[in-house]
Amino acid sequence: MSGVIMVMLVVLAAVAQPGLGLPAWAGQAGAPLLLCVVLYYALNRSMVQALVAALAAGVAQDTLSELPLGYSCVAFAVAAGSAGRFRELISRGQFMPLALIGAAASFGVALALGLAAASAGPRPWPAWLSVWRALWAGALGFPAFPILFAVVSWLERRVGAALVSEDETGVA
Amino acid sequence: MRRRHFVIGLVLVAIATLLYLPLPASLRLKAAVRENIAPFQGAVSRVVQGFQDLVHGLTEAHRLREQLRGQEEELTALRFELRRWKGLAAEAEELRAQLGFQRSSPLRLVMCRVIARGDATGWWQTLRLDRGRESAIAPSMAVVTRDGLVGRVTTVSARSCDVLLVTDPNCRVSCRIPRTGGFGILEGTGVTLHGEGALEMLSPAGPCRLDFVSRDQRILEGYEVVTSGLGGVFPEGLLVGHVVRAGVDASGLYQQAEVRPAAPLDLLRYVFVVTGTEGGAR
Repeated sequence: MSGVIMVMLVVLAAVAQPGLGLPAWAGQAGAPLLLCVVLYYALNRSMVQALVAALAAGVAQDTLSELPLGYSCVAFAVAAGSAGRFRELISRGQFMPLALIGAAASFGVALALGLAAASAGPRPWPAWLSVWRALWAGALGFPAFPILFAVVSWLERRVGAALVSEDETGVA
Repeated sequence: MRRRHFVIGLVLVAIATLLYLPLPASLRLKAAVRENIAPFQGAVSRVVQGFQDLVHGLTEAHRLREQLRGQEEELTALRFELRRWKGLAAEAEELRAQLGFQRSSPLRLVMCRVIARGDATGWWQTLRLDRGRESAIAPSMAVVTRDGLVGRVTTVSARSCDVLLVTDPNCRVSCRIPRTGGFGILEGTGVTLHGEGALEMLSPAGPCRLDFVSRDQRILEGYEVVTSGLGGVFPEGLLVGHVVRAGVDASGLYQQAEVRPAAPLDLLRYVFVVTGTEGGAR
């Protein structure tokens, strides 16, 4: 069941993300919904599931953008690993911690992808634009992650997808 | 634990494979994933579009309502105008036809407009026309349309006159049936074609009755009935109507025929008063 929900979330986030972008003056930063899905799995599920989510979300994002295949997978995997590493320090029931994680991860992933794409992509752009866009992506990640976290938690409770145990997550 | 490491390693290998995938293979993979996501994107796009339309509709509702009201008023005015123009077009067409009849006829005709139907009491089947003595119209003149005989002028004032229809019982016309050569006297019956009462006086009354036709004549349905010219009131050869049915009258000495007027007496708007013939007085 959890695999089906993951695929569904990735597909929904992939199709909704392009429609939730900011205007040109904000660098056309998109709402980081796919990243938020990955972060959700990193905070709530095993590292394996988080990495699988990162792989699926990365493929979806790279497919629907001009990024070379695999770039987003790496960025999402790093974000998932980082979030998973500090998951016990994060209070998952409160808005602000989740918002800060969302903002930080969005900023980091957007900056990394922007710089990587600027150096390797077919349309290089100045570094300052990558930073500007990353800032706006972070601003979008701030409210997006807590909202998505709440929605997905509610959805999983509704369909009875129980959380895995601590042993299974591999986190002591 | 070993399984977990194996899966993590598998995912990392997959990511590395994606990163170093040859360009053609990468493009093919992207295309395949896009193909599968495209239907969902289309569905989401439709939902978002519908939501945007809804929000737009709600915010623009007042302005749209005002615009709709304005357009409805405009539509009503245009429909009214259209009806008026259609009426004028029909009238122009009728006038053109009547004028053609007036020019081609050997009779001297004065064109008149019907300004009223039926007399005040309802006992007589009459029309009132907008021309009178000033247009050389006199009592007993024949009134016709291009379709046939309408009646005769009864009373005349300076600028109007009354016409007694052929369907009125008081109107008698000397007629002839050209196909047989027989003569008879046409008289209105005062009954509508539909068998209705006299209140609907102009729905033409109905078939008129042709009396005193010789029994030797064989009269069939559809035969034309025209004025004979005898009596001096109606010029010869004006179409009056068509035979509906015929039979021997009550006395057994003559035939009797029911005649349907040729002119649409209940639809008349313009008629002609026959004031004489070309090259001679009436």
